[in-house]
Amino acid sequence: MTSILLVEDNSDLRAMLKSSLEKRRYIVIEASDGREALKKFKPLLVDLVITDLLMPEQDGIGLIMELKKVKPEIRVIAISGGGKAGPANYLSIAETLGADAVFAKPFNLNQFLDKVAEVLE
Amino acid sequence: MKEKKIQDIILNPVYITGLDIDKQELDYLAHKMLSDDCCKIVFAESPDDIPKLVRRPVIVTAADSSEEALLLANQIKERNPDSLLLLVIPDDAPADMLKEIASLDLAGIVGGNDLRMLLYHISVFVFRNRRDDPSEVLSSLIQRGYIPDTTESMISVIGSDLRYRGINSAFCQAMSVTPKQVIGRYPSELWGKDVFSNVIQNNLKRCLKGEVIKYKARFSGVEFEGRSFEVIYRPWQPEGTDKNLSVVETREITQYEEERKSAVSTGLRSNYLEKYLPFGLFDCDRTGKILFANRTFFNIAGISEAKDDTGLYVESLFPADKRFTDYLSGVVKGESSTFGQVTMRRSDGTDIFVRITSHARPDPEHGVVVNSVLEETTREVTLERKLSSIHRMETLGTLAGGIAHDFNTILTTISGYAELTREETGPDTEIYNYMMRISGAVRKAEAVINQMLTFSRQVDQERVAVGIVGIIREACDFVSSASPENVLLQTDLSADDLIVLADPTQLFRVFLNIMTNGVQSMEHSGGFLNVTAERDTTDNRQNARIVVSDTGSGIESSVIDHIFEPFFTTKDVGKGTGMGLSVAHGIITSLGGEMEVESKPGTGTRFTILLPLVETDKDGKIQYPGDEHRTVLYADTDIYFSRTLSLALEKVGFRVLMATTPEDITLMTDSYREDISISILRSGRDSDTGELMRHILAATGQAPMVLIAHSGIDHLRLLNTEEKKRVAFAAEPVSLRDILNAINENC
Repeated sequence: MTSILLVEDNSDLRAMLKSSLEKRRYIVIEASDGREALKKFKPLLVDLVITDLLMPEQDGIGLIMELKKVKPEIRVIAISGGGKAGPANYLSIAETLGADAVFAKPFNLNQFLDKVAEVLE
Repeated sequence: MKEKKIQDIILNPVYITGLDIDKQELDYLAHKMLSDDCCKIVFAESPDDIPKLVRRPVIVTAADSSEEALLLANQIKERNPDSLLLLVIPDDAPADMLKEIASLDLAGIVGGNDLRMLLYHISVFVFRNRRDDPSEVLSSLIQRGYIPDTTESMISVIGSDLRYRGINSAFCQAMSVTPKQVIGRYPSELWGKDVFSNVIQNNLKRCLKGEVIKYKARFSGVEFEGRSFEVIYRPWQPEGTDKNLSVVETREITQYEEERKSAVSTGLRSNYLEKYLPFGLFDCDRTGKILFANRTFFNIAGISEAKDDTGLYVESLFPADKRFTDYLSGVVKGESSTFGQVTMRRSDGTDIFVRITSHARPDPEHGVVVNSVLEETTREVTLERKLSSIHRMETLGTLAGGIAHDFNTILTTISGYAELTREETGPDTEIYNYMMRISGAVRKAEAVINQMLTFSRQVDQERVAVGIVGIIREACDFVSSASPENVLLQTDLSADDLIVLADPTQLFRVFLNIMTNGVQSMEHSGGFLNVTAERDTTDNRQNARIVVSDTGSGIESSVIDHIFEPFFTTKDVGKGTGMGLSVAHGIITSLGGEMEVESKPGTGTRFTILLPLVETDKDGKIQYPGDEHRTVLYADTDIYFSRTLSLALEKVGFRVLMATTPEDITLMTDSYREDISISILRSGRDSDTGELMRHILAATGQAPMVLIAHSGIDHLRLLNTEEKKRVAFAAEPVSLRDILNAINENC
């Protein structure tokens, strides 16, 4: 079974993504910010981290850096809603940090799920 | 010149024009110089007020500045070519201006503060316009008793043979002589050889050769004890003769000298101050009737001082602001004494901002008198409004960015569930179609949010070098094809070498938006839409200046302050989102440009856009930011933010030296002094930005600096001029694009 750590502070979006991922038969571990994600991150178990970039406490960029330290080969998909410092900036930084794919909200769910499958191949 | 009898000349009126000779001076003039049987004095405010159908008038005119004097002189000469013009000019008139004035055909020029000289000149007119021998004229005048009335100065005319040709009655009185006794004699016979020394004789000879000599003198003798005199020798060649004469004037200046000495401590000083102080001063009674006002007051109000005595009410200056009456009664009661940002209507109809400070004092005649100081504050108010508008736009930008972020997250949830539901139900069901509609609505919402982000400068624009005129032409074609027939498009787009770095589609949107607004404002009335593009090099910066103006309905001043704000619209509900102009403003600002609007209701609106032109190198190749691999020292106390930004900087090709403490800065500058080609400092809340700036600037040689702060002004105070030149400014909230722009424009 493939496990995904889903990090998103908006609980509605998190619930929607969780349902859709579970429908594709992934195991989903939820976290509402970077700090909680680091606690719940089990290097041997988790294959993919999907993280929002702008979150309270530990943010997505910091999370990606920490995760890569612990498990350099971890797959990451970054999502961002833009605003504040600019969506493109955040996503391009995430990409530089080694995110396998980036999505700007609002994104098409099916394209997103296809990408998840592709990254996990 | 036609021969004229003395009587004719004297009976001609003396016209006084210009705004400078005040009523008091005129009274003095009339009293001293012009008795009823001699001349008539007519006051005029402008050359137009001088009647044309009079015999040759003597016109005395005075002005505030030499430029004005020149203008008045020319106007008068044009209207009354036959007049004798005596020009009173300011004492400090510059030499070149004097030259120009001297080239006019004038009867005389008098320094502004010397009334007695004016009187003297007017009296000189009298014999200057005669062909007769001046001595005859003078004696005939003296016989008629005209000269005695004109001046207290002792005046004598001396010929080239150094003999008296004429004297006036003041001379006769002072020396207890009659003209008969003196004319034809040598001055030494009258004064004695010791007084009429070689020095005086030399002065006289120099004067006869054309020199003006002026000196202060004291005379010996009991009756002259403690009295001061001024002696002036003026050369004079009467018209139509080749005679060289000298007009010697001796006048007592004892009182004048004393007045001048005591002026420092007495009322003269306050008179002077009242007149020339750069503040408007006025006194009014409790009804607002102006009892006194100084010159600056009239200048500010744009009204002629002569209105003073026709009963001017303060209220009439503030037709747009009804609060003044309340203010006045408050002051009378001893209440608040400052009235700021009042709109005052000048007599030419323009509105300015003023501040009034007042206090009331008891007055035996009027019960109470309010003394007030009036200052014009238009410049400050305008600046303040501009600053607050910038601040408001920034706040709105941050707000819009925040809203956009939250909305994007919510929209993802909505569209996600819509898709999930669609999968559950499968096609060909009602629910599937409903879900399709939800997804469609989400896409529309997404578009609106993108516009918001553009306004708040948070969408990166693709930037390429584009010729701006081409884009404008495209927009023009588009607009003109869709315009009603009564709207005519006029363009001047000859400057087709204007290249800017921008996203062409977005620029097209901007122009289309502004032009469409212009056309809409003329839909009913018809009119002209003017579009021009030109190179603008103000402030040593190369800009493209694009002006789009219409002759339509214009924009109310209450609306114009908000016109670039998001969601602001005056169109009917459903006709616009209010995004258009705010998006246009966002796009232009993000390109490092400026966008301004001016409008007068009923006259039309004018948008001005400035966009920085791209720099080209020697080969004409366009220089993009981040072309070379440069080392940047980036100092920021905010660890979170600095990491994001330094990653971004590295991504666009910079080598980043990051410093988050003053110690770091020293370490970096010590180690990499030679390498650092740019420094970036982000102002922290607690750190002393000014000090840090100085430190970094001193440690990085000639390297330019980009300061990221909410406002750059405070921090720049500590710097010297050379240092200031090295600093560019990027305003918070900052994006990578802002910083690159600042680097590109200034470094």
